[in-house]
Amino acid sequence: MGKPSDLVQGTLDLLILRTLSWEPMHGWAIANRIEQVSGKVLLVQQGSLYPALHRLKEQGWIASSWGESENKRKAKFYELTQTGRDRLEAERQQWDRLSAAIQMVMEQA
Amino acid sequence: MGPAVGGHPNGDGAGVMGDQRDRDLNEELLAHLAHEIDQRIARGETPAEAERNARLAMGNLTQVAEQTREAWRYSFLPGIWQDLTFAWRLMWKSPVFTLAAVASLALGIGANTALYGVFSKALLDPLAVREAGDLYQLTVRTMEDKPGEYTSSFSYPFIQEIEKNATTIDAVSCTAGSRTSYRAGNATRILTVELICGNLFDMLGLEVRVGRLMNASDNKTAGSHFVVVLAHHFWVSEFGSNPSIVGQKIELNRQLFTVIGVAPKSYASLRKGSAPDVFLPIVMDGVLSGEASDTTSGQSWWIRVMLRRKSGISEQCMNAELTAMRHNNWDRYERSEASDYAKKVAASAVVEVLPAARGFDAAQRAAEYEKPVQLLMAVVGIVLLIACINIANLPLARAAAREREIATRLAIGASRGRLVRQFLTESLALSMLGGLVGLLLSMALERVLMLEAFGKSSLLALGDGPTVDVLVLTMGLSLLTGLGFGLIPALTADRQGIRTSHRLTGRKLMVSFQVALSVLLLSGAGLFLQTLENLRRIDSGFRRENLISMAVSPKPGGRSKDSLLGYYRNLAASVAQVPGVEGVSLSNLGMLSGSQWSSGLLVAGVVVPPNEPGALRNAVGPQFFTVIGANFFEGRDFVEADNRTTAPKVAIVNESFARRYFGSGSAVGRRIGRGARPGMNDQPDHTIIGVVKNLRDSKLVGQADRYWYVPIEQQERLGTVFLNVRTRLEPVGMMAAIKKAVAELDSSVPISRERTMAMAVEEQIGQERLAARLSAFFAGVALLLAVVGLYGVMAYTFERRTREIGIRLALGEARHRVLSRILGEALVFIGLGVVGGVPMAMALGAYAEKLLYGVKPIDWVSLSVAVLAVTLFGALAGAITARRAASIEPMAALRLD
Repeated sequence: MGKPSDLVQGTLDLLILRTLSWEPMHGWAIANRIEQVSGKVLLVQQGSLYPALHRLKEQGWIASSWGESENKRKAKFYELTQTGRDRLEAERQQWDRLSAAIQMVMEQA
Repeated sequence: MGPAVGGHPNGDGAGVMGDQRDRDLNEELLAHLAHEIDQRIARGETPAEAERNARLAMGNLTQVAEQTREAWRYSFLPGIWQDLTFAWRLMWKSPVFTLAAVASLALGIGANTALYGVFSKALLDPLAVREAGDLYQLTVRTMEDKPGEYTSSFSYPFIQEIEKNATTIDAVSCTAGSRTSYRAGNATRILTVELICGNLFDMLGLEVRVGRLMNASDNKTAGSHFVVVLAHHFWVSEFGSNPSIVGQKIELNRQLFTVIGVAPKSYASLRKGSAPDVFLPIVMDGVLSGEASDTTSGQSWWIRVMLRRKSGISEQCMNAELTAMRHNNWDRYERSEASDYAKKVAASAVVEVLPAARGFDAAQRAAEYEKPVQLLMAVVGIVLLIACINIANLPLARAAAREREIATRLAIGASRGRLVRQFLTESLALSMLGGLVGLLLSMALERVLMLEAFGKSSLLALGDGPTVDVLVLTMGLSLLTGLGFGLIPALTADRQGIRTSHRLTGRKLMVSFQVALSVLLLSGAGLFLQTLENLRRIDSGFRRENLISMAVSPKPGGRSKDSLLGYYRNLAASVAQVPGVEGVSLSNLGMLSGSQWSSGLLVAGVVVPPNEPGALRNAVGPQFFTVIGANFFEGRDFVEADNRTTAPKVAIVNESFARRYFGSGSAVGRRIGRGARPGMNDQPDHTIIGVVKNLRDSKLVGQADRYWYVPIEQQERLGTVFLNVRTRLEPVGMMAAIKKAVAELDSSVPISRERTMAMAVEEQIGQERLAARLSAFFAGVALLLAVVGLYGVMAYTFERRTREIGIRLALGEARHRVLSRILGEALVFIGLGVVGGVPMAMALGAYAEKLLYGVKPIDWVSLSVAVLAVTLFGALAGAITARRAASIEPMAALRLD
């Protein structure tokens, strides 16, 4: 996964859900956190981030509210809902299976 | 600090909520930008630098906002668009499957829609007039009427009485059909006329676009209102919709009538399905008939009456008041000259008003068409059912190929609900496409049906094109089939993909059901086709080959009786001169024209019971029976000498007449005459000179009635006569030469209803032809659909068993045994279908018995042909599958998977 644009939609959703599972965050912080944690390999562009956030919200997996950020700025914070937590668990297992499968294929080749 | 992020150019989510949401998004993105700048400043960039770089990193804000809004849009119907494009791609990738499914549905839906459209327009829809629910038809029943029968004709004085005195109605109006000659340039032709009471258009609340409509002042004095209202279709076809025709004069029956207006397009007639060309005041009837007006006679019953109920008045109240008025009226005009029997009948008269929202005689018309409509509805319903089974089965046949796709999608996390939705979308897309094609098909089919079932004028009268409820019906049918039959495969999908047992017994039984339905439709079609053939070959008692009939109307020429008779003689003589003509004779009623004329009867030496229906009568020229090729039991044909007003009165009767009144004795020499009419001093003054074999000369089917014929010149009232011409040459080609001879004699005499007897037969058997053609067509469609269904399921079974067959072949099983086992399996399910279909076909035959002619309801020929055809085509489908199975390379089969 070299370029951020290679991030497939489902994967970005998974990353966002996982990131929000630690604590509620606003959009910029989410992108920043993913970038930091992935060692700057995964760069999330705003053109992908905000559509994804809004889609996840429409699906009821995350909820949003306005709050004050650490910089004392007004910002919209997102947090996981209960169905979002269940979803994360399911997606995570799915991911484990898929990556294990890919891993096996790669090792064999 | 930052720029605006932009509005919403695509207008999505407009309104208060949408604006709020946009502002929200705007703020959110600006906050993002602010955080980015904060971070860059913290890293040591100058504020200006930080803002520039942050903007660079963020990219085009408007675009980000736009992309985010896209997420809202999809949120309403998440992924539907994806599903649809996916379904579309799938359909495109397997065109044969798509074609089979869409064609199945289109035919099923198209047929149902067209039939519903035709019959709703012709029978069910109310008239397009003001408050049609308050309209009632005036009828009267006496002891002579059987249940369901009634008299619907009344005299004009009675209508005037109702108008003046009745308190239970708001308005009364009337119509009567007639015909007139119409001269345009050098050509004269016949128009159909609706004679109407002056207030008709007012009572119906019709609005006028061109000129004015008739009113009561246009219908006062007999023979003095030369005004005409054109029917909309006639105005369009004859005058090219030119509004300046209003005020001009047109020539009807050699008289000039002023066009005062054009009737609205929505109104054709109070009789559904008829489309008169012009409307004239009813008091002008004498100008059309060339006689005194009948509107002054209290004894002439010829006008249909429409009433508008006064609000709050019950039908019983109307009946009571009008019955009393009817008795008064009869006492005034008829009692003095009536026989005792007639007085008894009149005393039993009861007025009954019939709801007429759908026009005159709506209930009778509905009853007449009830059985054919039910049968046809059943036929097209069955076709739709077969199509639906295909929609359920065909995706299954394809599912083998999609098994891996579905397994993959499940593996990478598609939820079951998501798959169900995908299946539903696919079947809905298919069914909607089918519905759309079906709608197009139904529009074409509807025109054909309308024409065949109700004749040319019905298209003018009832209009064409789909109505709103037909559109709703089509879309509803499409949705239902799509939902119903998409849900089944969708719900059987699970983690392993589409779960299906390997034997698929249920599916195959559905195919058997399709086979059974095909047997049913095929044998039904056989019955109707034989009926049609029998009707075409019916022995009508005369030779129909090379016989032409046409109506000639010299009456409006204002001829005296003598010159009229001279014209008739010249007419027969000049047509006889046309090369290729073998013989000519005139008659008062046309051959196979469907019209009959009866009159009371006196038979010397025989007491005719007063309640016996009058015998049928026709007036014919010399050599009439020779020309038409009828056979005599005894006696002779009319000759020239009989055909003089001064000659001794003679008559020819038919076999039924002779048997009824003279038993097995000879009828020749016996005397008969017209029945005792009030004030006419009737005597049995005609001597019978011959007895002919029964003719079916007005209608092809029906009981042979008592008939008597008199020489045409001894007939009292004559106007239009029919030319009956026997030709040596092919008759259709002779028609023009004969018409030319008539025109040469007098070009102002209009000719109408020209046809060969073969054409006349086809006109009379329209309903049967429709039933035969439709049932044959749909039986073919059903068979085709059933075979497609069979093939689909067989092919799927075979796909599932490729490996097994491969193993068998590898182990040395002979190919022909593989072939015969698969074929055998197909035959078992076809056989089951046949066993189920035969009793259904027998039941259908029994139900349709009244519609059949010359065929037993249980007809082994039809049944065997049906069974044979189904088995043959089914076996063919089985054989194709079996061949494919038997030609498998064992190694290739084993390597699969």
